[in-house]
Amino acid sequence: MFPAKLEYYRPEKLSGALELLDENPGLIVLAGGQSLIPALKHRRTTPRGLVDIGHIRELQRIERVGNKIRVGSLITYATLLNNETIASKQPVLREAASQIADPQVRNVGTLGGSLCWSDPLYDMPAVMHVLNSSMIIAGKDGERRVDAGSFFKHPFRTTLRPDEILKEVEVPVKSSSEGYAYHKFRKGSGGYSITGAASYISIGDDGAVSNCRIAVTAPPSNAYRSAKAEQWLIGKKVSAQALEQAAELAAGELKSTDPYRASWNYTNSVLTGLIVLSLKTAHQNASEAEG
Amino acid sequence: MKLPIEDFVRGIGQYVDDIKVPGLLYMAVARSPYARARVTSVEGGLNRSDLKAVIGGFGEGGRGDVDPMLLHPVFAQDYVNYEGQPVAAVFDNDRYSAYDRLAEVEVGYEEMKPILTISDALSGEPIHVGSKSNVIKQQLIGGQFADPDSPVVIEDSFSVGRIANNPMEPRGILANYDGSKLTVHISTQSVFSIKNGLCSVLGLDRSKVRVLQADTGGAFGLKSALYPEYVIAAYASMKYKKPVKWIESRSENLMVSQPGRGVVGEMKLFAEKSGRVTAVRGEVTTDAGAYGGTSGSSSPFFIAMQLTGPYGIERAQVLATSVMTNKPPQGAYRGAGRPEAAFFMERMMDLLADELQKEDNEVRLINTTTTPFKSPLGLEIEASRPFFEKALTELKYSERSKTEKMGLGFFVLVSAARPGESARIRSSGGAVEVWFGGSQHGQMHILFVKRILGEELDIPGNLVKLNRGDSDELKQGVGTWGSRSAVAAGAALTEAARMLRSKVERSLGSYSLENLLSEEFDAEVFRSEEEQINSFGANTAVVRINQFGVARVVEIGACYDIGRNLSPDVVMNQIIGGSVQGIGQALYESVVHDSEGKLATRDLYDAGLPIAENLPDFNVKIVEHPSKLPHGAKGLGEAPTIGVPIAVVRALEKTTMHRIRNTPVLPEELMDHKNKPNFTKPRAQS
Amino acid sequence: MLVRTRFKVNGGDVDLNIEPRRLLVDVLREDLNLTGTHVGCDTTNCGACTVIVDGKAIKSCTMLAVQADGRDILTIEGISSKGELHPIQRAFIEKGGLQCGFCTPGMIMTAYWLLSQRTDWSEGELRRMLSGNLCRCTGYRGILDAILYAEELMKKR
Repeated sequence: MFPAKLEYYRPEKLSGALELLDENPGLIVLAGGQSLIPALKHRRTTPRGLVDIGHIRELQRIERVGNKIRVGSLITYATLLNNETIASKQPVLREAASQIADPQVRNVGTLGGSLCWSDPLYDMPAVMHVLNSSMIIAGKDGERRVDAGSFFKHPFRTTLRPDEILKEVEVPVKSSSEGYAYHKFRKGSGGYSITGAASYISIGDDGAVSNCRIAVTAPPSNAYRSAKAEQWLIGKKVSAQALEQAAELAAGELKSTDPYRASWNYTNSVLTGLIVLSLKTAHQNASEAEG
Repeated sequence: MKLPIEDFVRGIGQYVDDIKVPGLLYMAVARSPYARARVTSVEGGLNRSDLKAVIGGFGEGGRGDVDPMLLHPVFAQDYVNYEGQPVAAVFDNDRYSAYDRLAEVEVGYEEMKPILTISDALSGEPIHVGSKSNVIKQQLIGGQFADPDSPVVIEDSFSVGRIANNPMEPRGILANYDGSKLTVHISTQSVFSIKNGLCSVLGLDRSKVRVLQADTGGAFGLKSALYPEYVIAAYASMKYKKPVKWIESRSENLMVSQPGRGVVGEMKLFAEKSGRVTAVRGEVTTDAGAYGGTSGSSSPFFIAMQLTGPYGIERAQVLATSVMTNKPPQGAYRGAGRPEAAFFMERMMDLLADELQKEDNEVRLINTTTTPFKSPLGLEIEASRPFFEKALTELKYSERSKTEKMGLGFFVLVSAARPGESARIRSSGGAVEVWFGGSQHGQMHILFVKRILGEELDIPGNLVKLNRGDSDELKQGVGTWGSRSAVAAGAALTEAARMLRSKVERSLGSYSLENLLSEEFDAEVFRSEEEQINSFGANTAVVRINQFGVARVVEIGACYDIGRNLSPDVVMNQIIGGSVQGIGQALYESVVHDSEGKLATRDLYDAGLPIAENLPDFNVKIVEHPSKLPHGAKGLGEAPTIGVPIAVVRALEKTTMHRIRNTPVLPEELMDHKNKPNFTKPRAQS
Repeated sequence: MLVRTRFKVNGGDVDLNIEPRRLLVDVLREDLNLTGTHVGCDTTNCGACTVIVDGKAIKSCTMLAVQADGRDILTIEGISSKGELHPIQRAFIEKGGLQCGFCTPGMIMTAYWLLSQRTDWSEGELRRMLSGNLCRCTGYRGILDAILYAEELMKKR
């Protein structure tokens, strides 16, 4: 119910935060706290202390850089919902954010915080996969980039080292003839994701799928991409059957489910339908002009 | 007089955790991580070496006539029998430090294999060493009869899964022993249940114990029982001579506070081709959890008594059994046996309708009665046909079910009026105060209090105050549960008002409001009620199911006979709130344990609590057919939790053409079977 | 370790040395005696602890008090003006928006936040925006009616 005793530091700058982490092993980063604080309360984690990065301005920007958007790791879900650049240049972030948690949690929960937490129940990792986004990571020796495919290692573990801080997430600007979508599925009353389907489709001049990415939110495992389904769909024209087939291939790669939330059979059935919906939406978005 | 809701919207209510006293000790409870284990050693905090008491028979449905070896120990003794069972308690000056101190408690456990289902409990070893079996009690209710020679015989079995009550305020108590008197502030439905319980378990002098109700953030049956944590807090306060506060977390609440339902019903119906039921046999088995003495011990017998519902079924016999498993003891949850009884009978009515290819309303109506009826199981009802014909008309069932796949449910609401209730009115200094033996927690009893005092004594509402429960202010009392307040407390209040009137007449020659207010007058009544005060209700439901089997209730229709509508706004609020709980039972809510007996539904989302998006439209019709009580009231509170799950389940059946036997009905079930008919016989019309 | 934390609550200045592990809701309730904000769960589901921080509704059970440094907090006790009920509070009373009252402060604060942005929320939108506030007594009808009515009252102001 209540966190154990811990230390607390509140650096004003990113460099100060990195120094604290470097010099004090056992300190961990506090961003919005919507994942960390519940874990502290139930003592699932009992760190020596916290480095509260919540006041660091450099992590709170959204910038367009060429055909990319850099989203600061402290950007909240609420900001993703309301920001104009996101709405016009990469709306799938908004679409996904609107399906996550509840309004109060969205006001505080950060994109970076939830990505670093890497809870298989969370929706953003699958979206990061289809965006082919890059994580820009700050350490005491400078910055490095890790793409989404390599960032999420295990449930609750990313490639972030204990002395590093996720600085920004770089996502592409959506261009015309490209579309993205995310559809989350949860059962009837308030609840956790049972599954979710993220997709990206780009249509070539010949009207066929020139590129696609399909990623699945798959608790209790991390989100996965289905190369099988993607490779199958590339080169084909979008049709109901084509989407169904791709969806079945992707859904078939689901490893396991939490039996107390949903059986594998049910989740697989839902996922097949959900991926079709997601691909359809992405396809529709691809047909709309760039914002 | 200010209403409590004015304080609540300002945030100045006084719930038990809002009450501050100097020198407070906070309590944290060390709990078993295992569903079943032998406790080989306990070190730290207060534990079994300090107190060996057991609890049984307090609160709604609690039974004292249970073998003592099956009763819930305050501190676990040689065994623990459910995950979360209290083993020790620690104390400190602030709640965070108290929680830290749990690390000081060291317990040695030898894990044992838990018994988790009714069938395992009936065939397996007794979980309580020295007892013969896992049966708390088994009884045949109703008379023997030979199977009638009826052409239609239908058999099936159903279950209603366990549900966590989940009032928004978890349990809490503040026990304050000053060296001679124990004063307890508690979130509760009954100060007298708590007082009786504490005095009995701890052997206390009743004149030295006072229990006061704090503002209570919902209860729904959860807060009438005496829990081990309450006894520990009182015991600790007396031992340390300091005030002790215990406020549970939601996690603890979900894990151990007696969940409701958890009943299996096996039914066999004999009927004529006309649909008239000639006999019913049933087996009703309640999963009472790990210990006897709670409502789990009385549940199946109460269910059995009501099984014939509003129907004139001449022959009925039910084998009722309460069974122990390694799960938290079962408790009362809004409805407390009534929803289960109605579910089992109404499912059979629907099976009968399908078998005979008759309409749902047809088959039910033909079994209603035109004269008062006492069933072989002991249920007494007025003539039921007039009400249900009216209800069907009011809800436009025949018309609407031609084009909509509408579910229908009929039921009897047995108000827990027995054994009666206390009411006291004191007029002093221009104000009129009322106390009841039970304690409201959102039902706005003040409104029917004002109505009754206005009608009986001409007292204007603004002079009236309904006080929180206080065991010092009444000689005795029962509690607020079982749809009994307007009925039992209202009747007691009416009698107290009439007594007050007589007192004023005797003292001042005649009654007038002026005379009443001119001096101090006080009247207290315990009005006995041993008769059944039953009422009828009907519900309809319409649902939509999406491609993933996710169902949504679109509309709930309700027609209830409430005797007299003493407070229309409250009536609507109760119906809507109760209906959403009924929807929760049908579609979302459950208490699930894994194969080790550990709770799988560990937070409010997994427990399935309905959210604002789940709210349907309503079509509510109220019927007022006064009861024989002096104020004419009948019960209300639990009606929606009885009728709504029935109607929703039938609507789901009609929509999917799939037979449904258990609640909650999960999307997996609805998705698999959508468009695949598997009724025994296809219906004449879809 | 105690951390000096300065913030505003209901217009007044607060300057406290706080143990970092303490939750904002506990500091509000215990150190500042503002017991109107309630704790209904320990998994950030129920929303009974909702307060407004820098203009945004947040769950105070999932914020450390030390994170409030430099921030402006509004609780249920702070929305009535000179004792007079805020239109949202009046609306909850008049439209049956509460029964036991335990979820009510959280509901009102979420409504306050919503109505501070717009006063034209539809019922459908409100249902979704209340997903972080649970109620067991009312079935939500009275709450929705209250917020819709409060919108009308506030539009007129």
